[in-house]
Formats: sequence, C-alpha cells, structure tokens
Amino acid sequence: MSLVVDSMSVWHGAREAVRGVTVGAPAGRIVAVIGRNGSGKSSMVRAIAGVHAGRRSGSVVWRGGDLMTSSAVIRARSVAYVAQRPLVAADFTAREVIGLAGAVVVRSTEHVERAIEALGVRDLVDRPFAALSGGEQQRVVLARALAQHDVGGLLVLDEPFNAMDLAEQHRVAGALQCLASAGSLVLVVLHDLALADALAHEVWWMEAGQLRASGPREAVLSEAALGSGFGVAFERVGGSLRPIVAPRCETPAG
Amino acid sequence: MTIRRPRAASWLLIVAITAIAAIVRLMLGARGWSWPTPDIVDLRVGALVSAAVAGASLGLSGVLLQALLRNPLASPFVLGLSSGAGLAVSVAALAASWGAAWVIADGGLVAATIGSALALIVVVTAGRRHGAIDPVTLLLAGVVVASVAGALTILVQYLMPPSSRGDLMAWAMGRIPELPERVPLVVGAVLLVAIGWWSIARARWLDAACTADDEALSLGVDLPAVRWRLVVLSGALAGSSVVLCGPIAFVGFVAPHVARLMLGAGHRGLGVASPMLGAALLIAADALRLAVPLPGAGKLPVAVVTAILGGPIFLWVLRRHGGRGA
Repeated sequence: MSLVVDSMSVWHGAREAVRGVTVGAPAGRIVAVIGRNGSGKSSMVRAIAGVHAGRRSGSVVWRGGDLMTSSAVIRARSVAYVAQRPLVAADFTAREVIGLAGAVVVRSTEHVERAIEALGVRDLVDRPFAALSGGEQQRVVLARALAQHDVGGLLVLDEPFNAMDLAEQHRVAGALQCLASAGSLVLVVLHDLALADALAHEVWWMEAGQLRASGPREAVLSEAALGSGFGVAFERVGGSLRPIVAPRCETPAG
Repeated sequence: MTIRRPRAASWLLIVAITAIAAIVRLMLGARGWSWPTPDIVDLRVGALVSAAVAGASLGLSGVLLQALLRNPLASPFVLGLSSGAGLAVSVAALAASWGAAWVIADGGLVAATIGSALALIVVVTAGRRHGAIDPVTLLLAGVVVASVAGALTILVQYLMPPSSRGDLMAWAMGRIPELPERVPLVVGAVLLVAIGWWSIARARWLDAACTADDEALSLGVDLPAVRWRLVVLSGALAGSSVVLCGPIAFVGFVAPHVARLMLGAGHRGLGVASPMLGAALLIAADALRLAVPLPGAGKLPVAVVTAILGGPIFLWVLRRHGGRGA
C-alpha cells in the first residue's frame, strides 16, 4: 500500500466527524470516497491532505512519510489538493491562479503548460478568474493542482465535478485516468455514484464518521448495498450503475 | 474578456507620477510656488522625505493587511491601526511628561508598533463570526476601535501639560514635518526597506494566501506563521508612519488599489508599486494643501486632504465589492 491511514479521527470542535478510520490504497489507482451528506467524507480527505486545521489523531503515511507530522512545504511536494469550494480573493487571471502551484514548491513552466493542456483551459488562461463560470473555475483550480502534482504523487479532490457540464466532466475524468495510469493515486470525493462506478478502481464508503465498506468498485457498489445505504434503488443497465430516480410527493403541501 | 496589462508602460507611469509629485512638492513652500533657494531647500527636502517614508509605509502596510485579511477594504486607518498607534504614542508622551522619558526615547516607535498591532488583534478578534473573518463585522470593529482610540487620544491630550499640548494636537491631526526627528525617520526608512524586501521575497506566499485557508496550506504556505508576521510587520509600518506624520487617512487604502489597477494582483509588483504610489499620494496631498490654502483658515492639515480624496474612492470600492474578496 502506498497510502496507509491508521486509526484516524478528526474533530470539528467537540464533534468527532471521523472515528478511527483505518484504510489504505496502492498507487496507480483512483479511489472514490462516497457517502451521504455529513458522513465524514470531506473531513477524512482534508485530514489525509493535511489541510484540516482542527484536532485530529492517528497517522497518514504516504510512501513511508507521515503526512500528519510533515511541514506544509514537504507535504506540498507530494500531495496536491482541491477544495470543495475554491476561493480566490484577488483579481488574478486564470493563468495566475494556475501559477500558484509554484508559490512555495518550485514548479517549471512546463509543469504549468502540461496542466493547462491536460485540463483544456488554454482558451481561459488570460481571462479574470472571477469572470469564469463555476465549471470553468473548477477546471482552472484542478489545473493548478495538476501543475503542483508530480506523477506518482497523491492527488486529493473534494467533489471536483461540482458545477461541471458533461463534456467538462468527461475531460477531467479522462485526465484523472491518465494520472492513475502513470502511477499517481487519486483520491476523489464523489456524490455521483454512477460517475464513481465509471471512474474509480476502488471505493471507500463513509457512514456516520466510520468506514462502512472499502475495496474494489465491483465489490462495494452493489445495488443491494447502495439501496440500503442511500435509500434509493439502483440498477445496472449494460454494465453501468444508475439510480432509479422516481420522485413523488409523499407529504402533500398545505 | 481577457486581461493583458502593459506592465512596462504601467511602471513608467508609476515612476513618472512619483517623480512629478516630488518635483512639484520641492517647488512649493509656505508662501506658494517658489524656487527652493539654499536657505529653504533643507525644509522642503525634509518634508519631501518625511512624506515619502510615511506614505510608502502606509502603502506597503495596506498591501500586507489586504493580503492578511483577504479583504480589499483593509487599510491601517480603516482598521483602527493608525488610531491605535496614535493613542499609544500619546500615552507614551504623557508618561514622558510625568518623568518616564525613556518610554519615548526611540521617538515613540515601539509604542506605536505595539499600539497598532494591538488594535489589529482586537479588530480581527472582534471581526470573526463562526470562526471566520466577516468583512462587514471587521469594518465595524475597525470603526469602533478607531473611535474609542481617537476619544482616548483626546483625553490624553487634555491630561498633557499645556506646554506640550499644542504639538501633540497638531501631530494628531496629521502633519508632514519639515524638520523630522532623525531617529523615527531613519528607523522608519530602514523598516520600510527591510519589510519591502521581505514582501517581495515572499510575494508568492502572499499570492497563495489569497486562496482559501486549506488551499493555501496545500500549496505549502504555513498560514499561521505568515499571518503572525503580517500582523507584526503591517503594525510596525503603520506605527512608524504615525510617529513620523501622525494618523493619515486612506493612503494605505488607495495606493494598493491604484497599483492593482495598473499592474494586476500579483504581490511581487504590488510590493514595489504600492509603496511608491503611497509616497506619491502623500507628497501630492502635502503639495495640494500648500498650493490651495483655504481662505480664512490657512493651510489644511494633510490628513484632511487625504481623507477628502480617499473617502469617495473607499465608497466606490465598497460599492463595487460589497466588502468581500477583491
């Protein structure tokens, strides 16, 4: 295992959001972290990426080094992270935002250019970041993470497909698969279980702060388990997982 | 919309603005336009250097504060740092008048730095809601700290011996000294160069600090350490400018905004351009008050001129950004 999480707990104030999670993954994989809202997915990946500012315990070992005790600079050399809601409180262009990858860790122009190509944001780079759509901003921030990321490193993404249209999702998913093929470990929080099924090699399923299940995608994403865990029925059509969405009014208004 | 900033032209313009402001100020004296003859040239150069050091310190302090708080409205005056420094220097002067002369042996620099840093800590602490800095609450906290510090400064002035009261009152209204005291001027200049160098060397850290806390951490920036440094350094700059020229409004707010409009948001450029424009602004305000005396009232205090010029710009930025990220 390249990534080993051992007995990790994470607190938000007095509330224990993640409780003693032990799990691991080899390099060269895409791991989808799934679970209902408030199950502890984001808290767990933030702690793994070393960006949770509050109390935490346990250890996160990546290629032999403990990420929980490393300095920010050393961690930035091996882990790149994209937040659920990116914030850029300055009038930067998209290129300047991508260039932040080299704010502390030395990154060459080639790194930045490769990331721009991989995410297909060449036509956005001279535009103000604030003027981009939500999906475009998300792609630019992902390009920044890719520019920071060394092949073979750890990439942690918290719901990166938010606000992206289908074409953007397809492009980004392809880029993540290329990274995993090249030896990187991609840890990605996803709400879209069909996308998790199509993209991930392995799945970690969080429930109430604990790991409900982990393992190969086929083993974890069974229709029966998902139906009981998410309260929505699932079916496989031509090998693809999809929820059976049939909303109906159960509590009449008025 | 794409952004392509003509950087060379912008730099030329900034240098030209600063040079023209300096030349105009050298040509102006208490009696209006006149050539700086040898008997008065020292006075004009003294005022020019004082305004340059104080204005540049305010311009740089504004850049650091706006990076610290991720808020385009932040500046030493708006957040109460100048008032805090003014109160601390007034208290030190009062203590000196009661016999503790050592308190103000350095010209009041240490007192001013402590006063401005304390004001910033109070404002940032009071400006937090649910663990995060709320821009509107922060501004209100700054207004309250500035008001209370201003009122206490007036109280201290009443407690001063009548012989020293006039000087303190003139300083508290903001004035550019023609014969500046050597220690505050030299220490202020050294602080400005040292902190300016740090700001340029660490410009990429400041760029990264404009992202969310978790993203900045993931980029390798040790945010808690950087933030403490920014509190101390911006406080020291605001304090040294207050010691030199008294509390001056809006220079630390306007200079970073003009620099950003001309060069973009990168801190490598802002770390140089904002101090230059801060110096140019304060020199120009001093020249303006000399060139346009108020009928019946003589020369205005320079802080009144900067407030009249800076206030509308502040309201424009407030309206444009609603107090949130730049």
